Amino acid sequence: MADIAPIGVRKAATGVEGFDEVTHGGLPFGRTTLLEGGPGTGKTVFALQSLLHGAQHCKEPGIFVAFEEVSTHILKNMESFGWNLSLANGQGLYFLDAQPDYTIPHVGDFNLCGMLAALDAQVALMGAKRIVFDAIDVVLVRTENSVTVRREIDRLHNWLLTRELTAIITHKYPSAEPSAISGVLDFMRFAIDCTIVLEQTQQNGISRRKMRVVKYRGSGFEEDKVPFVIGDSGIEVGYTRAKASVEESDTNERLSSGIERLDAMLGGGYRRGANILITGVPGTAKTTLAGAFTQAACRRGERVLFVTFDSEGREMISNLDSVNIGLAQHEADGLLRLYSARTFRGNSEVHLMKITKLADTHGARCMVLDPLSALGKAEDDISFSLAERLAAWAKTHRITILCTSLVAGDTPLLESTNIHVSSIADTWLHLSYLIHGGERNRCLTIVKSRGTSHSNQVRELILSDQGVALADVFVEGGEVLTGTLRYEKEREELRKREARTTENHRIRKRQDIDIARIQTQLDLLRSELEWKIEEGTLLDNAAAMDLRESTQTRSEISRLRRGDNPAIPGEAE
Amino acid sequence: MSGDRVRFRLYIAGEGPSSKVAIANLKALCDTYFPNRSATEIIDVFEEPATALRDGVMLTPLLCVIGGDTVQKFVGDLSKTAAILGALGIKAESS
Repeated sequence: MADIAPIGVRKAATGVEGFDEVTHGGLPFGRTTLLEGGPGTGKTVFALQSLLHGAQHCKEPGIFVAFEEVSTHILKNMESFGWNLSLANGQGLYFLDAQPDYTIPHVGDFNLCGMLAALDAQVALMGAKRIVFDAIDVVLVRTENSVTVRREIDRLHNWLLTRELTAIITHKYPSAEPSAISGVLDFMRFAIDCTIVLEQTQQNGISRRKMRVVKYRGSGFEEDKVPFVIGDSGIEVGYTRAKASVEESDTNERLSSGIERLDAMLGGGYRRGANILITGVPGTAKTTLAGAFTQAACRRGERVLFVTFDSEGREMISNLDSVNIGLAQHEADGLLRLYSARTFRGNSEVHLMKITKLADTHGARCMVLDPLSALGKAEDDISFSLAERLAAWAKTHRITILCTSLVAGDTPLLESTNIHVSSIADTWLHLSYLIHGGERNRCLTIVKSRGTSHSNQVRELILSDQGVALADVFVEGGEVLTGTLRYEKEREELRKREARTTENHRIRKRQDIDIARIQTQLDLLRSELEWKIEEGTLLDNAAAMDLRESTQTRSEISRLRRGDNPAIPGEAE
Repeated sequence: MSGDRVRFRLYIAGEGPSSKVAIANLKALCDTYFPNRSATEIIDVFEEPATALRDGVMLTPLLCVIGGDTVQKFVGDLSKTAAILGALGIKAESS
């Protein structure tokens, strides 16, 4: 058991699981604690259990003063707890029978000095440091004189203080008959350092036990009522102090979820020691995801405790088999411990303790609760604290725990219980159905995952005999397409792409032809141009020659005609 | 009871008023009803705590009346004389 660092005044550890945490270390050392409760609420068990612990583990021998039940009776009743009471009879434990003898007449004023003297002798004899007075309401019950009662209770209290014994006084309260003691103890409450009240109630036919520290001078304590059970080995208080700082450093290791794509989306997988919540309406394959996680863990050689509340173990294993998740092998190898809790009826406190014990004995590194909601079914008021305690316990033991939970509606944000539970979860996956185009397909949403950036992404969850896979979803016109619609859409996209490619190809070809054609035309025109230019040149030449010739001819003719005048312009020929 | 020797063992606690009253009452009882045939032993539990433990003395004063092989016990400072006498089967003398 972990050492609880005491805070406040010096404490005497009781060894009662959970109680020392509630009180930051145990009972006030050397002081008196008043333990009150109705009949059968467990006062004697608690008192004896802590006395025994003091003797066995704290080297503090103790005396049990029995006023009501005879000590042999008490010892017999405690046999079922398997306590090692061999310390009894003087060595670590001493039982003093101080039951009132009703046959002895009372003939005047009396006091408790005889008992105190006897106790002094015994304390000296064994070096006792702790003492229990069981059922003080019985002690002075025959006295009607309240002055006497007050005086004697005072005497007792002073005696305890001066001896500095860590004392527990049990008091049956409220009781059927009002006793003179009750009134006195009311007064005494001011003087007493610590008061604890035990109660037992019946709710829906199920018995529930709660304890509350009403007062604790000089120390902080958990003020709320905490549940407890009287288990196989004594009282166990259901209380785990939430760790102030979660050690993040050693949770970089990632565990596979069993689905490759999901691992990628989660940045490698679930974190080691994380608290994973999978919500969804019935039939959305929550158990399948749990199974995938389990299989992955077993493949790594890790031990898993799978607690199922809904189905019988065999049924579930064969269901998972149909999606290629084979757990039978791992169960046979001893890695997987399947615990079917369907038939458990009763106190969920007890149940929680049973489950945590199972995990301990199995040495589980991973745990599945399917579904978690079945654990807290009966009592809504403490179901959250149950989940909290389970989460805290898992974190302390570095167990990665995966819980599935039912939601009534399809929106994860509407369920208040799940909101509470989800605030504890490190990773929250939600499974839902998407109904579209006459089909119903499963979707997985990562609602939250600490340490990764994939929140709020939706994927389609596909189950087949090959296993579990995730597929992208298509979003068209703001709607998510899954299933065959998705398939059709995928095909269509492919077709479109091909069509585009073909079209491009065709256009390209066309262009090539055009280019070639234009090129040819260009060449033709160029040739024409050259030819025209040449033609032009020729004409020019011809014209020039013409002119030269005609000029020459006229000159010749003029010469021949003996004309002195050079060519007379305008003389026409 | 009549005629036989009677032994009284009175357990008291210290020398407080309760003890003194008890002792006085016992003396008166002895002198009146058991003259010259009683033996008295007084044990102070504070001085002999081991004896208290051994004898199982829880409440004080405690008177043990031993006559023959019978032991009759009384708790208290012995103020209620009538009750003691009644239990012992002795007729009270009006004095």
